Amino acid sequence: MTSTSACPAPSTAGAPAGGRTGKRKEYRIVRKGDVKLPKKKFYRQRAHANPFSDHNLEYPHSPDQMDWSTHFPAFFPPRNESETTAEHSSTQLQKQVEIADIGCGFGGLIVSLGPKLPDTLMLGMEIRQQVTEYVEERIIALRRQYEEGESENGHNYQNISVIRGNAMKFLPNMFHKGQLRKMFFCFPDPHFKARKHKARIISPGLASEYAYIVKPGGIIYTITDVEDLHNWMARHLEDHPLFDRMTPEELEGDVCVETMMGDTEEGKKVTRNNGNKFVACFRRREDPEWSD
Amino acid sequence: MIHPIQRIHAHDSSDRIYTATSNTLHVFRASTGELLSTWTAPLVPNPNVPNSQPVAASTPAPEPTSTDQAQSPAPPGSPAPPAAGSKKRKLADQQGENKKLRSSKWTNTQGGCNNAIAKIQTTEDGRWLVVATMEDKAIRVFKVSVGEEEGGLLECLSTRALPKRVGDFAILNTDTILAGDKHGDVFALPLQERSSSIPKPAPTPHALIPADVREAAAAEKRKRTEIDYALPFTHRFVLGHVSMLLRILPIAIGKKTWIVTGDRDEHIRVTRWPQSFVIESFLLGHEGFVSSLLCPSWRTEKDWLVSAGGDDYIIVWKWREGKIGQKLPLKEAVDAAYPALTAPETEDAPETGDEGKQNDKIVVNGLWEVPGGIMVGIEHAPILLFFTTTPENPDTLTLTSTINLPGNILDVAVFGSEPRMLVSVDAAESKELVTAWKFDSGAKEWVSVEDDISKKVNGEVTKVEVPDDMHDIVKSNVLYTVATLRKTFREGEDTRNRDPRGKEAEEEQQQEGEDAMKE
Repeated sequence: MTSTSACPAPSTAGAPAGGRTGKRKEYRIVRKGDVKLPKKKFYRQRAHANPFSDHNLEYPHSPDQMDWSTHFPAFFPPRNESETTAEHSSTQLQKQVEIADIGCGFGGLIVSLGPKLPDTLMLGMEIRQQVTEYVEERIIALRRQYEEGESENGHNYQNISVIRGNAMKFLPNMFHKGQLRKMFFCFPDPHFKARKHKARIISPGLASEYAYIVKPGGIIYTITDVEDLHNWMARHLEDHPLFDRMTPEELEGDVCVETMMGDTEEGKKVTRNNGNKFVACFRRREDPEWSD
Repeated sequence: MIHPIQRIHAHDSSDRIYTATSNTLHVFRASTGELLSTWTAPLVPNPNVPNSQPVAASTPAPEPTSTDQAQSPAPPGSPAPPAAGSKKRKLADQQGENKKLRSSKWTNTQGGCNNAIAKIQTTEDGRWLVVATMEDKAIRVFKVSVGEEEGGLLECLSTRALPKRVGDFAILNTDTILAGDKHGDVFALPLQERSSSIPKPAPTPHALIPADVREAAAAEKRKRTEIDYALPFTHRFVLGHVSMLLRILPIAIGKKTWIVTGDRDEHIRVTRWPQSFVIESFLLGHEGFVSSLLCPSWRTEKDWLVSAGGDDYIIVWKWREGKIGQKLPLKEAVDAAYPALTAPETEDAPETGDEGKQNDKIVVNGLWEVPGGIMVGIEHAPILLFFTTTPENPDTLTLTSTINLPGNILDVAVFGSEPRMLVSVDAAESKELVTAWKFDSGAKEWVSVEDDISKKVNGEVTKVEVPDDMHDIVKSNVLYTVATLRKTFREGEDTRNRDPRGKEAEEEQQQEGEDAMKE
């Protein structure tokens, strides 16, 4: 029996599915590591988080100390018995993470992109704890489905993972300079009020930080259904001396754009509501010569 | 309690010592100790106390006439209730609100907030003095007349208020001020710009604007594609941390200049100047906030960067290579010199079981350069740790000696050709504000001296009496500001939002959340 049938329908916006009755906790404990995909309604969380807060986050002190072994175990050589866990971590990862989905939400983009770019390691980042937990469970379930021969598409999902974190603060703790080839910002929090614009995921200061993480030639993808936010993001990245806006011709046939449009959870929702989707993509330039 | 000197600054070629006691600046001649000039930062109206009045700039520090008055609610008959349209929580019990605010700021009876000086810095040539104050979030530039024509010593050229409190500032090339605020943004301001005297028009009360006009204005604002800092003076956005900015240090080597910034989230960032959109590197290795940065000029290549803050160690970086050169633990030295700091507190002795908590008590309040070495100040401790290189080991720093002070270290100024040091301390009993030290090159150690400058400073600095009920506020807001930067998570607390910008921001966030739910 799954606990869904026993769970009363959510009554108000303030009380998410099973949040008050304890069903939520129970569901998550019971299903932990289950081969079935988790149900979103037990992991929903308010769509906003204050990026300036000290969330009690765990993050490495530097990229060298990032332990990728729990995220991408298949990309590690088998561990020798003589090795300690610390020795076995980050240094031996055979590939580097090259794609980051900032604010990955329920993980639609990485789950869809994983099989399309099977040789690339990609990481979703999400600040909301319960949503991150959902994506974790989702990836575990997908990996198990493959192992048990139940996979729909024959992909093992070993190349995707998720981490809870605040990308506005701690990206440099996780990635080396120029490590990423692609970065996604899909349907970020619009922070409508002018007073809250500083909390937006694209800002002049953060654009420099993203330029630091992305290697020259790498691409930043943005998509939103809020036109004001689109104009904002486009303006700030266009104005930034290290980014070039990509033309529609350049983006034609880009599998990432299609995935971002069609397979993200928000993207699907906007399609259902016949909303607009605004896409803007930017290529990282080479650093200029030093000027005096 | 007599207010100690929270900031002290020396400038050699112009022969000046600057001190800050609460909101009062004193200028001394370093060689003779002669008091040349004083200036007092104006009080700031408390925005949360209606009709509070700032006191004119010329009046000395505020001194609430009695503790009774300081605690009493707003002056009788004055406060009109806030405009009807304002948010509900503002209509909360006015008296309770006032009391709460009183408990976080040093206010006088009119509700003015004491505007303590946060940093003093001179340009390299000594002709300009830049002062940051806490409550009005302002950066002031003074013209200093040096040499013979010393009539008016300080002329305030400009007062520029930033949107948020100034975390730190630095002066670049004698013409640019780099100012970083508590929100993490760094702006470049021209040093010599007179502030416009046009006062800002008073905002029309919210309730008087028709609803449709209000909404239209808000809708227009939402379409903005740039952040409106609303700064009425020339400024350029340089870089932004999504964290409290604690220290800015420009380093120039040959024709190249870098800006090194430290923040509350353990980061040290190295940015190009003036191409500040290029981040050269991050120096990551701290586990606590980074509030002190120093590039010792006695390393002629300027290849060292020393950093410290919320950790019980300092790091010496080979910053151009992005590598840690040395990690120097402080705990042993602090334990030996001042065991009281890390000793378990008696009342919560049963709880202090784990080791980690003890180390939390060591916080570095400053790094200062002395010839061939550095001084490390430990907050809440009456000691200075003196690290030097030795002829045998020119590439490593070692602890050479510990200097015991008559009170907790607050700030240090190093000056003179045969190095001297003026150290400001919080010595409640001895009434000493500064102590002077001289480097004995024979014995290779610092010895305490009583010279003209220390005598004069101790004698002539305006003695500001802090009322009893303000002791804690002055201590936490002005004297010991570093340890409070530490992140705290209570046991069992996990995802609860804690906004470092303070309770107000947290409440604001809460409010926004509720609004969003309703929408």
